[in-house]
Amino acid sequence: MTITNGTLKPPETNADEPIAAKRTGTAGVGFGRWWWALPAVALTLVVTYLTTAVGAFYAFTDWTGLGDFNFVGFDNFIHVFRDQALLGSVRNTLLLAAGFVVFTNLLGLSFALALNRTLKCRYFLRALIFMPVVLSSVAVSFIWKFIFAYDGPLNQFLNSMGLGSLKQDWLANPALALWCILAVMVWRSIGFVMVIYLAGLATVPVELEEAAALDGAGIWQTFRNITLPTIQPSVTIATVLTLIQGLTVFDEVLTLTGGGPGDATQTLATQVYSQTFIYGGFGLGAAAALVLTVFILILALIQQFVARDRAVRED
Amino acid sequence: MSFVSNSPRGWLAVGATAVAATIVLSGCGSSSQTASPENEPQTIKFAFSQINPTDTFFQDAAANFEKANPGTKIELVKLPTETAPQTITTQLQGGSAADVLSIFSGQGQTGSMTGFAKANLLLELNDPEFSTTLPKSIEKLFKYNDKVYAVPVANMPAGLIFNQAKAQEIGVKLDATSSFDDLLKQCTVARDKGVTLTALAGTVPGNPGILTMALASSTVYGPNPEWNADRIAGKTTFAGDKGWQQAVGGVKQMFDAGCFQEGAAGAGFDALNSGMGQGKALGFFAPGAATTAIANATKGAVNPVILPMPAPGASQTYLGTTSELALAGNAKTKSPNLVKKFLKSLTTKEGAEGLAKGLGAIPVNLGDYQLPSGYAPIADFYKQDTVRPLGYNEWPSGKVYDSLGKGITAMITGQKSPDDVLKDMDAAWGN
Repeated sequence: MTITNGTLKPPETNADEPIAAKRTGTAGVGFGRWWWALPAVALTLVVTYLTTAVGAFYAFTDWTGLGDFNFVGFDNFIHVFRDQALLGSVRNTLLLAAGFVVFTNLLGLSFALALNRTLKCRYFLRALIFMPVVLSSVAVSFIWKFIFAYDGPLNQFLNSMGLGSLKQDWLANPALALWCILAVMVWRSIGFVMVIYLAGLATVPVELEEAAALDGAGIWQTFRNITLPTIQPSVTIATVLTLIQGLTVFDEVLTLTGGGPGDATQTLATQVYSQTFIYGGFGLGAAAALVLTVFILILALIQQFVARDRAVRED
Repeated sequence: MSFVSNSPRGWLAVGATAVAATIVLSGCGSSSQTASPENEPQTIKFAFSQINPTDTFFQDAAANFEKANPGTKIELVKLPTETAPQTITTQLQGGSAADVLSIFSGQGQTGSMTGFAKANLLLELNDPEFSTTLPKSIEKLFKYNDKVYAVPVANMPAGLIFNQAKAQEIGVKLDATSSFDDLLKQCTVARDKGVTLTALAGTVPGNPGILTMALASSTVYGPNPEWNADRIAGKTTFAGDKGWQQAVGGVKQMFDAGCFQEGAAGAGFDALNSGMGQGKALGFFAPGAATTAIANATKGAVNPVILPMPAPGASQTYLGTTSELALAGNAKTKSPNLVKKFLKSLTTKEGAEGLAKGLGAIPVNLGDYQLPSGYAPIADFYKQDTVRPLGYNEWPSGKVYDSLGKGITAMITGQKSPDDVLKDMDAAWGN
């Protein structure tokens, strides 16, 4: 294995090395035929793609969920980008997604680096940090709602520390509520991101780090030139997954604030729910859902492009 | 290597898979045969939800009907309260709803009668008994195009659910004759004793919503019972109406006077029950059935009463009432006669009183019905007919009432002025 400009390259393949024989013959005829996949493909098409297409179709109608509907062209989309509450939810969604990607990845990577090797109690600490991931998001949010309550533990703690002036109605303060939601989302997902990075760190060869150390590289140089390039695929996976999770956040918002106070913490996903099921505006809800889908698609593609493997970039 | 099998066995399997998939997928949408009216099935399904999980009044009504009509069977389908309106809407639209359904009267909420009736999804209740038992004051909530589509479950006053015994103990004096200024003064008295006069669940739009509607019963619907008709006709607006300005401004005055608990804007429903249960609050705003629910839940330790909500600037206090709980039949039922027979049994004096008693409410035709003990302070309002149905059941969509509830919370957090709240309601109304 060689390193060129910080990129690991696999050893050249020796032409004389035996190559696994290609599968030939008729063994297993009747198995593995393409039509074996038909039921699954049909179900996927019907359950996922057809329903999505039908949902997209309703975005161009004024359907209330009952009876007939009329075509309204792009009116619902215009409404999404003109309605102040819906526009605010777009802003909140982007803010939550950006904050979620940054904080979960920074903290997740930090914990992964800290608990990668050497520390004796690392397995226990890894389990501890991963624990919130396996809990139901609704249950977690209810616990945090109790913690953030005006007479809840957080304010009681501040009082006991003589910081009573910092006492807040955390979830009812329009300036703080969104940050409280972000904090709960990040707290719950750090363990998930940490595991992705731990898997990536397991692929970093110890001898490379040792060689770098012998050459006089510091911790930051080793991380920048050896660790980070090696775990690039983990970075891509973790950031894309957290971006999608951040853009589609629903449970935490609905449980912690219900989108309030006022509409201060509404996101696109909660607006889809409200418009569709509370107000009976299936057309507008479908349009908001379509906008959310397009957002996710565009941002995920941009992020994949930016965070793509360095080797691919240099090709 | 070809991935397409040319063997007959392969194509047979493809065909079989396609047929199986078609059968499986089309099975979901298959319709069943309808029996003739003379020979319709004698088993029907009744889907309902109950706010209080220990209530059994629907189950009792079904059991009584079966007993009185041997050979009939009512299968009960209990739906989660939070999602019941959405479930019933989806099932009705999809053709898989039960034969009898608990819905909301009027319009303005998901799961309201008018939307279903407009889409021809409800059974028309065309027997004369249905229309003759509907009181004039609420009949428009149960009719669409002059045809009856639902029957009321009961009538409930909406006001301040109040722990009178605890209030007297700490020197707070509030009764059905108190004025709005009296109420504001008593908020201060209660505060000085370390409790709040009323708990508010700011994160649940329905709670600040019902408080404001209780105020609007005196400031808007008392003087002008046809205010909604005027709004529909475009003769008035929320923002331009003095009564609405007084009602929303009244909530602001209550907030400024410390009538609500600290952290009211961020509180959930739990703050209402726990606040009253733990003695931190003397009451909260809700429909009257809450008096019975709390008395039952505390095994008689707390016996709250319901008080009317006095309003600022109103010459007379009116009691807001709601008959929003309703029952209707599915238009696609295979047993339309049995469905009507069951619904008719609930409109009789005995049937209606049975439902009302179980719910802790009163029948829509009061007659000589003995009011629940918690309703004593409001008995005169019924006698003098100074009651008004809460207006939101006639509003065009749930968005208007939601805007009111959310707007009130935003007002007490300083995000919106009373005028902003009313303008938002006009915008949600749509014209």
